[in-house]
Amino acid sequence: MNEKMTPEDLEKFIHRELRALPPRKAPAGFETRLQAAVGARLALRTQSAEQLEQLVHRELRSLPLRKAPSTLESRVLAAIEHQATVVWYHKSWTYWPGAVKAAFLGVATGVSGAAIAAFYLVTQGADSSALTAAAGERFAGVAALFHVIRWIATYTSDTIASIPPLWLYGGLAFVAALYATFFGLGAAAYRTLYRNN
Amino acid sequence: MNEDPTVHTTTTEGVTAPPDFTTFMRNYQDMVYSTAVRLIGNETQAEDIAQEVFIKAHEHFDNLRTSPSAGGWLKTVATNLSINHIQRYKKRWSFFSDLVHKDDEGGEKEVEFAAPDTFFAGVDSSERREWVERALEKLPEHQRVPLVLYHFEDMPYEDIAKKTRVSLSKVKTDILRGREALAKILVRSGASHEKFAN
Repeated sequence: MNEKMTPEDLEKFIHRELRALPPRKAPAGFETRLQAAVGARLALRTQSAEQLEQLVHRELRSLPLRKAPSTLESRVLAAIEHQATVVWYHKSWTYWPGAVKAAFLGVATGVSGAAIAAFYLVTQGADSSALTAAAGERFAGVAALFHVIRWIATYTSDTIASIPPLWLYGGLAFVAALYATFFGLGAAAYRTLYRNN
Repeated sequence: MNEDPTVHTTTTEGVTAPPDFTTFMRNYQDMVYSTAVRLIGNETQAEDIAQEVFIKAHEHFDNLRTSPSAGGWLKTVATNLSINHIQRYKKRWSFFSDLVHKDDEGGEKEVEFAAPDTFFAGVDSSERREWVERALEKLPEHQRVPLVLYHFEDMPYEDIAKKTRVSLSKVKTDILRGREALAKILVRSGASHEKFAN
C-alpha cells in the first residue's frame, strides 16, 4: 500500500474494496432452518396461557423417571452402616436409649428443682453465705474450674492492656481489611466462576 | 410416571412389601432421585438429598415396608428436603449472587410460545425428553421450583406459596414465566433440529 496515502484516500480505498466483495453463499440447510424458525415465530402470540399450561404439563408429565446414579445404593448402605457404629451419646436426643433418656430427665429435673429451691430460700432471707459454702463444698471441682477461667481472663486483659493502643487499632484494622478483601474476592469468584457455569 | 414402583412379596395383611431395605430402595430410588434432581437442578446435590431420604426411610422402615403409601411418604420427604436445601443454600449465597430479578416483580407479560404442532418436528422421543429435562434444568431456580411442584407434584398455587415462603402472586408469575421460558427453549430446539449440546 502507498505510504503517502491520506486518511481520506485510505477510507475510500477500504470502502471500495469492501463494497466490491461478492455476496457470500448461505450454508447448507440455512433456508429450511430459517423457514422453520419463522414459522415458529409466526405461531407465537396465537396461544393462550391455558394452552401453554396444558402443553407444558403434557410435556413434563410425559417425562420418564430419571435414573438414580449407580453409586446411590452403595452410598446409602454405607451411611446406614456407619450410623449403626456411632455410639448413642454422639447422636441426637431421639437416638438415646430409653433408660438414658429417663435418667437424664430425672437429673435435669433434680438440678432445676434444687436451683429453684435455693433461689426461693435466698429470697426468703436464708443465710446465703451458708448456702454458698454448702454448694461450694459439693461442687469444689466447678469452683476450681471457675478459678482457672478467671485467671485466664485476668491474664488476657493484662496482656492486652500492656499493648500500645496504636498497635492494637492497627492490628484490628489490618484484620478487618483482610476479612473485607477475602469476602470481596469470594464474591467476585462466585459471580465469575460459579454463576457463569 | 408418578405411580409407585412394583414391590415383591405379600404380607399376611395382603399389603405388598419388599423383603429387605435394599429391594425397597431399588424400587423407589429413581422416583426419589427424579424428585430431587428436578427441584434442585443439580445431580450431585440431588444424590445427597436422595441419600438423606433413604437414611430417614431406613429409620422408619418397619412401618414403611408394609405401608401402601411408602412412595408418597418418600416423595414428600424428598420434596421437603430439597426445598429446605434450596432455601438454606439461597440464604448462604444471597450476598454473592443477584437472586432478586427485578423484572419478575412486574405485571403480566405477553405469552409467547410456539403452537404445539411445531414442537419437536423431526426430533425423536428420547432426544425430545432430553431436551425437556435440560430445558427444565436451565430454568432459574425461582421459576423451576414452583413449576416442578405444580406440574409434577400437583401442588396448588397456595401450597407452593406456603412451602416456598413467597407471595401467591409471585408464585403465579414465576410459574407463568417458567412456562414461557421452557416453551421458548423447546421452540428453539424444535425449530432448529439441532442436537442438544452437553
